[in-house]
Amino acid sequence: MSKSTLEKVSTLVRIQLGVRNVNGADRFMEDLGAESVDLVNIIAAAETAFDVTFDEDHLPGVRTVNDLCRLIDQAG
Amino acid sequence: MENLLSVLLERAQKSPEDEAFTFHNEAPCSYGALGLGIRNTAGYLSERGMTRAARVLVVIPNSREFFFAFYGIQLAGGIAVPVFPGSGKERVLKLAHLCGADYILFSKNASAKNTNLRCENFVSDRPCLPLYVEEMISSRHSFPERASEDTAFIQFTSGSVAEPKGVCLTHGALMVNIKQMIRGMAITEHDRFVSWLPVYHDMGLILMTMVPFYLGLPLTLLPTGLNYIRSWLETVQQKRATFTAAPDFAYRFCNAYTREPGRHDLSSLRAALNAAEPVRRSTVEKFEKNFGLKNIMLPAYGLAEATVGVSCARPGAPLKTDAHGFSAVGKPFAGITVRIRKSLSLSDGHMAGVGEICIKSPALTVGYLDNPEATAALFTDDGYIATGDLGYVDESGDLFIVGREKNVIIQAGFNIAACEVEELIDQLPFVRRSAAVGIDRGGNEGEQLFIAAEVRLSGADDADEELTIQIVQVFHRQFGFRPGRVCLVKPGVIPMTYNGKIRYRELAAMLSNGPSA
Repeated sequence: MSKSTLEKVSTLVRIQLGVRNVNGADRFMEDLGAESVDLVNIIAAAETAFDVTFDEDHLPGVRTVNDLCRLIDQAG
Repeated sequence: MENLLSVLLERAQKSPEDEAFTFHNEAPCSYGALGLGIRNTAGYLSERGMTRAARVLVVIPNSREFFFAFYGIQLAGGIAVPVFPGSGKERVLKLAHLCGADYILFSKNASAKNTNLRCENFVSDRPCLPLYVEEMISSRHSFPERASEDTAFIQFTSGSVAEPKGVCLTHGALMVNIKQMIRGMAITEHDRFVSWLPVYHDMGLILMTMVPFYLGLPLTLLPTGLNYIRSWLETVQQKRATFTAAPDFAYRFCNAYTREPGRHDLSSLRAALNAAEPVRRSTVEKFEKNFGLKNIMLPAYGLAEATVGVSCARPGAPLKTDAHGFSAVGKPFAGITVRIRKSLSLSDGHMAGVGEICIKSPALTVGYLDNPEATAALFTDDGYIATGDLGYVDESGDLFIVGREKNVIIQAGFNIAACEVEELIDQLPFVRRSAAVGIDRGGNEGEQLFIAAEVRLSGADDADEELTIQIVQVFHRQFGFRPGRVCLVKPGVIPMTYNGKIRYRELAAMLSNGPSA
């Protein structure tokens, strides 16, 4: 996926979760310590930052940072 | 005199093999085992010389050990003070200090995720003595009598001014509210309960564990937090649960995150209580459509100062919403009267009939712990409590919650006072001033805590990002959850009155409409 998408998403995730190290393969919950609400906030922030709206049907599949990047690139 | 603890101990004696509750993926805990755990805790504390009405903090997550501690303290004549196990060490110590706790109880088997909250890390912070529940063994058999007016436990609630307030709930009030809820929610011996709510708080404790304990109903408890929605739905199906409860956001998450809703058979459900947050019609309609259910969602209202439950919609009735989209939360339970009083914060042009909801009930708190001013402010002259919630009652007698007067933010079921947030963030050396507001953009996440922090912006993205990360970390470490958003602003941006008070409504408007963080 696009490198700049990953960079932007990583920044967004760092700010939302208060973590300094974010990699594409990281799972939001297991690796980055996100709770359900944090994930929803990250997704909402991504929709605003990239000016897209995600199809709710795709949300259950978002488990890693890369998953979110892919969703953004597909929606954009 | 009937109280829940006596009911539990009697059942432990007469039907020790009966299952009291089951935690997900564990062997069931029988009433016999529960009774033994409770007696061991009570005996151990008594033998250590714990005095009557001593306050004892309980910092234990969802687990059988929580119940051993919670009821064991009460059996020994003490007052249990459950604390959210995700809290930071400073917060726990603050609460211990506020209630003058002699002991803090932890559990080895169910130690909190936060390693700061292990028993051994508290040893240096006297005079509150940290203890592990598992190490409490005792053969003591006699304990003081309990009176219905004795305080059973203290529920700390986010204060609207300054520090958290300890809501004192008596054995008698608990029994009244348990019966009020059973009647109002039409709960019978055929009901089967499933819950993932925190057992140490409010709805999760009183409705979802005390009610099934009182009636001896099957009860399955799941890990808290809604990270694995599927296991909630699967457990409802597996156990053929009839009754569950959650705030609206949890049902919204089910709607958004369930891959194949049709795969779940939730037909056993007769009631899905929906409380602690505004109930959205769209949530209810989508949930019922997705899972093929009809008229099972039960909007309800309550607060700690009334023990927990105040009203709920009639089970089996369709959802009722008014012209503004607010959902009815039913008629007050038996013995409860509701009065709407004019609110100073509402302008005359506001919705007709809306005011502050005041409640009278035999299940009201006896007051806030060691806080006569706050207690006096809570009660009206004729014994009603002022809830700080805004609403009205329609011609049919149904209650509608429209807003909140108290400056408390509710994010995903967590209540937090703006001033508690600001007190913490203001301590950061780079923060000139902070302000906290709740903002609901209508999305799945619902109302979120927005923190505005005045800092000297460097203009360099990395430096500003670092400040945001620090704020999020400090907040998370103290309160155990993360703010919805942190907005760094230049000094002087947070709107203030001439006499130095934050103008929250203006700030909320600014942050809702402003550029993305």
